[in-house]
Amino acid sequence: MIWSIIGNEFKRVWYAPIAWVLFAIALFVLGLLLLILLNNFYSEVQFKLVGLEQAPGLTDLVIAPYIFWVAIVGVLIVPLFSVRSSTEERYFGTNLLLSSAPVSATQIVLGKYFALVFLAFIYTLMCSSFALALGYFTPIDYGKIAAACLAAFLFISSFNAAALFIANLTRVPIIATVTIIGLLLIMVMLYMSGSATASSSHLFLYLSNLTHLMNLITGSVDTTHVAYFVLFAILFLTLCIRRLKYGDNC
Amino acid sequence: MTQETLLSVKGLSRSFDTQKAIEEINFEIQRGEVVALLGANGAGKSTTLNIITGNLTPDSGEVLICDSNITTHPKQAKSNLGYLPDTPPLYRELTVREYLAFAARIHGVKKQNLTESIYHAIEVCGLNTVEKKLISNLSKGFKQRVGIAQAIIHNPALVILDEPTVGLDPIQMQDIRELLEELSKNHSVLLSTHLLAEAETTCNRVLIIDHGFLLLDQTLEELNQSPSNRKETKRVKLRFYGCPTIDELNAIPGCESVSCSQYGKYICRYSDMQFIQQVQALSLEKDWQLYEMGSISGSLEQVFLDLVMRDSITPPEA
Repeated sequence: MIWSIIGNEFKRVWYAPIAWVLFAIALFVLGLLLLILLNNFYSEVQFKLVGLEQAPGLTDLVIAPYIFWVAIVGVLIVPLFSVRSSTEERYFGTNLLLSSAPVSATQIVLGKYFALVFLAFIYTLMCSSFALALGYFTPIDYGKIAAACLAAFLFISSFNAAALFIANLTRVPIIATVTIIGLLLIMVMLYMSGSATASSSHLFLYLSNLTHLMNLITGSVDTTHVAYFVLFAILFLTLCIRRLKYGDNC
Repeated sequence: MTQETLLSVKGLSRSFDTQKAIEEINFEIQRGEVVALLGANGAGKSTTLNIITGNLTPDSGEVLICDSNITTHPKQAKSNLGYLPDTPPLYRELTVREYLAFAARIHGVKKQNLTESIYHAIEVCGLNTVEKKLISNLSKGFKQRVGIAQAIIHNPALVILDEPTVGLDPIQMQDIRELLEELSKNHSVLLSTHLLAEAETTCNRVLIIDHGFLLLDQTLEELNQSPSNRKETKRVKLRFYGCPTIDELNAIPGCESVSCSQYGKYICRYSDMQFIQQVQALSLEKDWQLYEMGSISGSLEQVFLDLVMRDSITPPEA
């Protein structure tokens, strides 16, 4: 049953032009960004590294920041599909097809969520292919790149769970979108506040998903950070299932 | 022959904030019945259907579909149910066939029966010519048919249709009515509507709901035989530019009862043709300015107006 829902959600994303437009814009912007980072590396950074012991290379100075931006752009666009998949369904009344069928709330939520996760996977893969293409011209650290891509994928996927929960709270798409962006800004605020010298707080830093993204993106896969993303997703998926089960979805 | 109860609704009540939407609704549907749930807009029809289909939780009461409680065993209950909401839940970006395939899968149709189920639904609902078209490109009538097709794709025992003919032109309405007749051969149907003619032509039992209360639960046969529908009693709709009082109309020989809606329409029950002549004569004499007079035909319309207008009687200003 879950596979049917995943398949349907995924198919519907690609049948509508919005996915193609958003992905095309994201790839264009990220392509330009990679070009700027490369240009900056060759014109201003590379010559300063000559003679340094264990000097960072292209992977650390170009690809890691690039994948950080892949994660940021991804977290801005991929959750929009959760609005389409849930809020719009409630708005147009198509949610009644699933809610009147012999399908549990857990199956509905997981079906929709894994469709979004699959979308995040494709997005990460597409964007990271730009960075991987550099390997044709210069030696790069594939291990570090894999870790950075995992970080971006986990960051986007876990935030999708929160977006899906928010999308199920309202039937007005614009309210859902603004609230999702609001949550993302709260995460940024927590990171900024937690890392500020005057008001540094380990709790704030731990709560912000940006902290965990930044740690993973450096290439060291620490299970603490992976666990954070998994727990973050489980928390919001549980809330979402409860909302669908006990909330008034009419 | 023993009857098999497919739907049992017991003591259903639901409020929205302080407003009571439905109160103590009780009824049953047996296998083979086609039941109309009648009521004016806002009477509580959709709330009742939303609770029956498990999309809304009741404050009290229970719904059993084929003996499975919709609240405690939703999966078993919903597998015997097909539902078309008032707005068909259609994915506009899919083709008719893709949509029906998805509907079949989520309703638990097995892989080996999938093609057959889709073919059957397409045949019954007359969708052969549009099965490869995008749903967004279909006319409203065809969209409604696709909505009905998804409700019957898993061959449920009970099909619930919420106002299936709303917004359709007369030809499309006739098509859907013919489709309903076809459905009633193999399924029990609960049909919500505010079109009395539709209920009279397609259903064999009627439930009338008003202000959240179930006012009537009778077969059409019982309705035709009820004392209030004796042939010697007739009804007429009257409208005046002037405002006669209910007492004045009641006093006319042959009049049995009078009710008046808030919009100034009088429904008079009479047993003697003399009443009609007297109304015309008095209208001229007392300057009531009678401008509309029409007989109410059909027992269902009479009963519906009687029940629903009984609560909305407002005495006109003298």
